[in-house]
Amino acid sequence: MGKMGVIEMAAGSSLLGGESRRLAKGSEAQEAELLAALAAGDRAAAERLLERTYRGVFALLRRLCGDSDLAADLTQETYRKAWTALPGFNGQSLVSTWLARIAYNSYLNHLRRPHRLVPLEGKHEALVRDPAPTVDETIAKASDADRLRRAVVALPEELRHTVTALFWGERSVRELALEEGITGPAVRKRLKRALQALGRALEEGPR
Amino acid sequence: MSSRSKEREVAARLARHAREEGGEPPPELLARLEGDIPETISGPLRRLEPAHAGAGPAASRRWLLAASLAVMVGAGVLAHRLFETVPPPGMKQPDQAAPPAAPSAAAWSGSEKGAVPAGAGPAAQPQPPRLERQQAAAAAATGSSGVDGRHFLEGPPGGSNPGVPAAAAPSSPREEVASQPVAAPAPVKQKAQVAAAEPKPGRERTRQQSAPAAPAGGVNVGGNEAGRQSLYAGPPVGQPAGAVPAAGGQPAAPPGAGERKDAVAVEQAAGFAEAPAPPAAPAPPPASAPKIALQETRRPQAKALGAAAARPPSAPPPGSFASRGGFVETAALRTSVFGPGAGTPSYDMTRHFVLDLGKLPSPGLVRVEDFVNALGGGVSDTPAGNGPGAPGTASVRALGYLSAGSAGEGGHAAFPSPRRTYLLRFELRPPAAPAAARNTGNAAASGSASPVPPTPMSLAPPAPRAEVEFNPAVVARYRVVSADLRLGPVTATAERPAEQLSAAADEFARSASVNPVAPAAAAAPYGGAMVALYEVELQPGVDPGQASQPRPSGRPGRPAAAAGSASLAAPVATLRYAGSGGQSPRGQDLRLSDLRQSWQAAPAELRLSYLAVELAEALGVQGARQEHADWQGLLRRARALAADLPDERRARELVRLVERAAALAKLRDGAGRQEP
Repeated sequence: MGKMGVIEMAAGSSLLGGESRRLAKGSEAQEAELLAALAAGDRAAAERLLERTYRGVFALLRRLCGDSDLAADLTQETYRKAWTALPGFNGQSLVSTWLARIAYNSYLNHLRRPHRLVPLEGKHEALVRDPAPTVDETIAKASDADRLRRAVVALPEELRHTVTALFWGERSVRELALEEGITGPAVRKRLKRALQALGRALEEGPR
Repeated sequence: MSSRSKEREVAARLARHAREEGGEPPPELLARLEGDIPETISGPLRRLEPAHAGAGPAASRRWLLAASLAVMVGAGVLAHRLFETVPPPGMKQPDQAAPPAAPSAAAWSGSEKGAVPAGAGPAAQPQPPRLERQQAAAAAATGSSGVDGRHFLEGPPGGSNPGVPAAAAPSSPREEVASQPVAAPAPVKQKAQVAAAEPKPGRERTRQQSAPAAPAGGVNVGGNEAGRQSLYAGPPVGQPAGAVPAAGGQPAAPPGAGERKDAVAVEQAAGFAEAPAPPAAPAPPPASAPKIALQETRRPQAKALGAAAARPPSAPPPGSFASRGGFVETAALRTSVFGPGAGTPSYDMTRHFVLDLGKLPSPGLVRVEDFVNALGGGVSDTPAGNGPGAPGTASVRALGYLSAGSAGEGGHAAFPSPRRTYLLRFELRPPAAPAAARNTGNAAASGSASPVPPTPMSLAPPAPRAEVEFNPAVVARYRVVSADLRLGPVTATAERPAEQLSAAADEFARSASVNPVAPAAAAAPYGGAMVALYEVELQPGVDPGQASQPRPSGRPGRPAAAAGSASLAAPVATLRYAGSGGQSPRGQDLRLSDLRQSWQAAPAELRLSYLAVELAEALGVQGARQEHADWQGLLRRARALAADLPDERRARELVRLVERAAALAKLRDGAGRQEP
């Protein structure tokens, strides 16, 4: 890692994310044109927007939940919300940032969503056997990635969003500062607090 | 493990997790997502700007920035206005620098001789403003005896009068002798302030003690003894002031004098018991004591400005020169002295402000005297009037000025006055400085080469003095134009009752009578030309255009035989001065025939002198309302004059100055600026 700072680590956390960020920065004007076409009701523009952004959204959700299928479902849910909320988009951030925030909220909603599956009674349990590991089993055998993910999810909201946005959401400090309405140093302070909290949580081991 | 390394480790794990867990989306995901795109896309309703992508601050912060910017801009505008309104330290406003400014007008108008006792006291004079100190330095460098006319009133070097008490010092520069009696109540907007000042040792060079006063015997160069006595010869010691008879041979006050509210009651100040009291005066003055009524005029406030805008255009705007009064009844005081033009710092500063910095100067920086000195003196053109204008001689030129109502074609309503007035210009070109003086910088450059042999330089140059004696048979009233009329009428107050004012006037008259100064006409100084502009109102019936044939016997001291019968040879005024090299005093008459009847017929240097005054007025000297400035007319006249004087640098400079100042004034007025 050398002497690379944590922000630089966040910026280079994902080759895909860094590449998409550069692409996004280089195509701000194209995004503006895209939004203008969307405002005119151009469906092809919506398809182009989808192609440009869905990988980043999926990657964020994949990192958050650790499950590709769940990430795909949440991605789909994210875009459904996006099409509905598109008239309210104020243009004060990139579309990718806006979509990432929707995806993040979708993931949080997924976590808060009550379990719809009713556990079977014990007499049927032997008959219907789910090959997938249960949640308890998953937690029990949590890998490092799972531990890290659980530790991130257990952070307070402002720290959690800071970590996920910077490391997994492919956003810069400036973008996050504008999104949150705070200054860049405040973002860095939040990140420092988040890393300290994560360090303590990871040292304590799986709970 | 340190905290920092732990943070770095966590960050490394997060970054590694991002790389490992990102992955490619399932192939069918895009198709699923495209299938969810609604048929009708309703895009962003708000207008999106290309630079929206995180480049600007949040909306709330934008408002905060906008509010901060608005506050900063407002503060800047306020500071700018304050800077223009309040002069920098050491440069006082005219209405704040009362004592230094007050003597100026006294020097230029003979009427202030009577006002001196109650008008100026050195004990009450603060440190002169920086501008005047600069002028004094300039005067010292040029060998002149004073900055402006008030120094001219000072006596010869070394003269002293320890017995003269320091007279009351007006607290405002715009104080002048007024026609109102002492007991007249002060107007609402006027605050009478006449402070008693005690004489202080070491500061005895007051205007009172050194004023050019004639002794009781009547030492007067022009033989105009009556006029002198009317000024300085107060009641003899021990004799009641009311017992002093009116000066013999004095013509009666012209009809209608009582209607002139700005007339100067010099006769009252000097003890004229029979002086006609203005009918409008609410209370007649007591006949037992001489009266001097001083009344301060304040700068018109913004409220008064609004009312003035609704007045008919013929009425003089409040605060303008025409409304400031300062007329002197010739019957009471026929002689006016004026000093050399010693400095031009105000004009230089104004030129720097307007031409170099692109901003209008503060009104307090503008001094009419400096403008006249800088632009009006020493201009040479084709001889006109009755003076050749050679150095060492007097150049007396006159402009016939018709009032606004009768200006006719080509007329120039210099002062929107319902009365018929004329503008006179007197210029006394000094003798050429000696070569030694020029080499040492002890003399200012003269306007032209002098054929007069150089005068030996003296360490103590003679007191510069020239006086203009108006013919009371022809001139009813006059006032000085080429100087700020800082002396406004001052009335008695509870703090300064009439008796105190009268006592001060008596004391001054006695001290002046026993301390005669040198003959009024003395040697002209080295340096720049002495220029004085007067506005005169002729006696009723005297019309230069309808005057009879010349009569050689017309002299200023003789009253007119009959109104309207004055000949063209009758002198309007006489300029008296001393020739160079100790020559006897000379005199040069300005006759009715010299008066021109139109602006175009006036000599060019007179027009230039007056335009200098007009420019100073437009720039707001003495609180003249700049809103009333006729910039277009001034510019038109300046251009016409420059066309008549193609080789005159100052005329071209005047045009440039007026052009720029007019543009700046338009910019200022367009921004809605109003003078506080």
